Amino acid sequence: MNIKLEQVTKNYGNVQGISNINLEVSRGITGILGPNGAGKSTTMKIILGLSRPSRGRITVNGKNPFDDWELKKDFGFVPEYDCFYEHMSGLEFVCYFLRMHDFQREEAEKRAREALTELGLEEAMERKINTYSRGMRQKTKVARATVFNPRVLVMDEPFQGADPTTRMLLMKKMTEWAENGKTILISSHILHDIQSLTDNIALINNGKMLAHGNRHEIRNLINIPRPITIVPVKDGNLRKLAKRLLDEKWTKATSIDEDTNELTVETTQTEDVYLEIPKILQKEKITVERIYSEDDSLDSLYAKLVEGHQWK
Amino acid sequence: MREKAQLSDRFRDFDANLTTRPWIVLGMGLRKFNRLLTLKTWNGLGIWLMIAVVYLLTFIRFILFIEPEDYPCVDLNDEYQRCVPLDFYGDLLGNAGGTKLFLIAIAATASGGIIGNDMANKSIHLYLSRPISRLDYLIARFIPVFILLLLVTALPNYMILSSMWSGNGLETSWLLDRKWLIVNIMLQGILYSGTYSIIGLTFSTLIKKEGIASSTFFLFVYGTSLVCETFFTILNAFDIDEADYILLLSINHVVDMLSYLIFDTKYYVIAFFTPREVDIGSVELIAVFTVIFAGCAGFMYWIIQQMEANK
Amino acid sequence: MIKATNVVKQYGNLKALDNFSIEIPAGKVGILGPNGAGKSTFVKIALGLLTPTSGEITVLGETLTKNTTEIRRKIGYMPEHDCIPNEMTGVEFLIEMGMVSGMSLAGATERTHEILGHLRMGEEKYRLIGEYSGGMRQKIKLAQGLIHAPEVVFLDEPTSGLDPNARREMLETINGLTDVSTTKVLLSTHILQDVETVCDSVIIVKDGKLQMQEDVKAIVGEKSNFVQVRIGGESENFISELKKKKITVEDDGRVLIIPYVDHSTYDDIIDASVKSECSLYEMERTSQSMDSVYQEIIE
Repeated sequence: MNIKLEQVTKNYGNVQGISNINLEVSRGITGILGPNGAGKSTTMKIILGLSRPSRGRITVNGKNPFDDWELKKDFGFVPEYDCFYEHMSGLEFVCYFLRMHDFQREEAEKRAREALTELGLEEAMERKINTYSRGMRQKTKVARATVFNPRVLVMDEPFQGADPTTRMLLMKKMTEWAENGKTILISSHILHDIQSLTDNIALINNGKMLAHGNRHEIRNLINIPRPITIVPVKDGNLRKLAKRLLDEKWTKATSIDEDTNELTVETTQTEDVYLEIPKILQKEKITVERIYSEDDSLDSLYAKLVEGHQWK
Repeated sequence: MREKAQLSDRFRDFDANLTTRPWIVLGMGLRKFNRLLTLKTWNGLGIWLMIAVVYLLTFIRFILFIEPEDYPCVDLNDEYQRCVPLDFYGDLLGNAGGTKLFLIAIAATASGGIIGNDMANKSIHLYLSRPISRLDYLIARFIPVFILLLLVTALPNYMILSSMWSGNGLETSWLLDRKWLIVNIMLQGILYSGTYSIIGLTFSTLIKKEGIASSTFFLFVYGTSLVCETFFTILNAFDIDEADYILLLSINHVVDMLSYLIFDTKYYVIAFFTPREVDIGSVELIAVFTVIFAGCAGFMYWIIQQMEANK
Repeated sequence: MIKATNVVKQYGNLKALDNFSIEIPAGKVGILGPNGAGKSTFVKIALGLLTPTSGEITVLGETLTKNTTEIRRKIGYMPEHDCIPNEMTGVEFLIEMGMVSGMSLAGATERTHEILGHLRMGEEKYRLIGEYSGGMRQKIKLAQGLIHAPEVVFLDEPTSGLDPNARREMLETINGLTDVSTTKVLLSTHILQDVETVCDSVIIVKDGKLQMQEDVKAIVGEKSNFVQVRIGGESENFISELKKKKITVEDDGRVLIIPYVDHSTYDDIIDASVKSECSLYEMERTSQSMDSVYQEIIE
């Protein structure tokens, strides 16, 4: 499925929901990030066709989801807030939605059982929802969405309050679904989870799309020096290597930390540097056990984009 | 010589120097009392207004119109007496022209949210995780309503007393002859304030919405009072002797009867424009009162006991 | 700090804690476990709000059979759910909480402003709590647990529902607590990452029993036998270079996983990247994560 937002703006009266958002998403997992009230949920609602953009164009496989009823069958939505009939069991709840979509009773029950079992609720599904823990509730909401086998799955904070086991299970399932060709959009406040799920992110703040795409590529577009840390295996080489790296024109600064045996190079021209460093290491016959950049974590990218506005 | 540059600790270990439990509870109660009388909220304004009405009534009805020689009691007829400290608690429209209506309204307004609000916004869990027991918490919430009610029960009554004293020429012997009166007024004030506070607190615990708790309390106390009095009047018309006991169902009348008991005066209810004596043994009366009081306190304690500080 | 010996807590037929023995060291300790594992029961007992069915528990050197309210002078508690009144200002509420703990007005006022300063609350502290954002409410909740300078503070899911900035700020604050005071921290959470960033040691509880107690550094520091590499350019060339040296490479779409033999593995990787002209973004021997340790113990 190809989801495309072009200059999409949504106002609620004089409240700005989102403004001029451009985004293109195809199969795989995309993480939607941003502070509270940034416009993540609004974006999701527009993609799902639950809300009509004030301006701009949204197409899903070339069609507008707000008007096209057939298209809605391809969507599964996991809302942030609970939307249960508490007195129903998980199984009844999922069946109820299937029955609403004209499934026969036996067929509905079979499918609901499958979906709930896939998410590890086989024992709990006969119990009433009001006895469920947060994690089970989240899984039930996910099952309600996936039971229709949608091609697009939109999940708003599915990990909220879930225990680690639930979270790991959901993440595993999501990776599987994505490999099978589903398009998954997920918002979460826990950047670590998004980082282990996907490299594809869309970062929204104050209703504006700050960045979208592969997070490493996004980092390269930000024009602040990037620190690259090199950890040699033996101590003696630290100063020698630092001196050698200072000769390169792309080195802005180097610093060494004798305690942790780490050398950090600050540089702006990243692409070349990543090619050059192995060459230098090979020439100087220095064995390193670790090369990394602090800036590679999603945490750091998020902080740079949302908090710091120093970049052009 | 210049003073040397100094660098003090940015953070220091704080010695909280905590006081003992009784002081915590008293402080909590007094601060809450202070908050009840704030003029920033409609409730606070309402309470101030009603207090003003009580004092106005006290002044007009009693201080101006009671002759010093009629104080404290004057014979109504051969059988019954009218006593000023008792009349003070009478109904506005009834025989006495007293302040009962406002008293209950103040109790309702003040107590409505006193526990219910803590439960509704769950801050009760925070209070319970502090170094006070659950009973301490209840006492701390009882204190403000109790003090507030004393201000409109015992205090105005003492004002009437002192005005009568001055009417009699401010003689010490006059006061000394009426030592029992001074004690009784206090006892009576504590009785009314304590009872209405604890019932108000119970309603607040039961109903977590402030407005609803207040109005339920008011309707319950006044409603049962009206219903019981109506039945009492009807049954009396048929000369049924057991009719007296129906008044035990109304907390309002139970407190009144106890109050008359304190003053050792015959209790009567006006039925068909004639005072009718109500004859209930003091043992039964005290038993009923104890059951109500202990029931309310026990119920609240049980509800609070169910609460856990981290659920 | 907290010592429990054979603590049993029974609710009817259900054993919430089953012969639970533990000695929690001072410092920052994380408590992990699935829902209903007995974490909160243990904490309630340690706070003196529940009495154990049997067994003995000692908190800060005091045995918790009689002294249940007094121990709360030394314990701060930040509940998980929202539990602060809307109709008071932040400062008013904290002073009230301080005084309910037994502080004087002057002491509570001083302490309130000091804590709110640490928590980087500006002029908002004089506004009504009802107008606060989620992160600010969370800060007030934390502050009320610290107001009376407790020796231990128990934090229940302090980062739940916070957005990344607010969450990072909260974690930094908790991290800083032990630097600026002698307060010890007990942190219960579902986000394993929080434990990794904040805690010195971790406890995993399941079915009312202690499953593991370990130093966080020991867990996270343990290296596995794989090197994780992220490269740019033609990864096929890179992989075939390594294949020439009989090194198998697993490609999971985002990173390449290469078995670790000894230091020469690193040299081989550098060599392959030079020969295949691929940029080498990241090379690191993978280590055990909290996630995998947790999963291993729970399942």
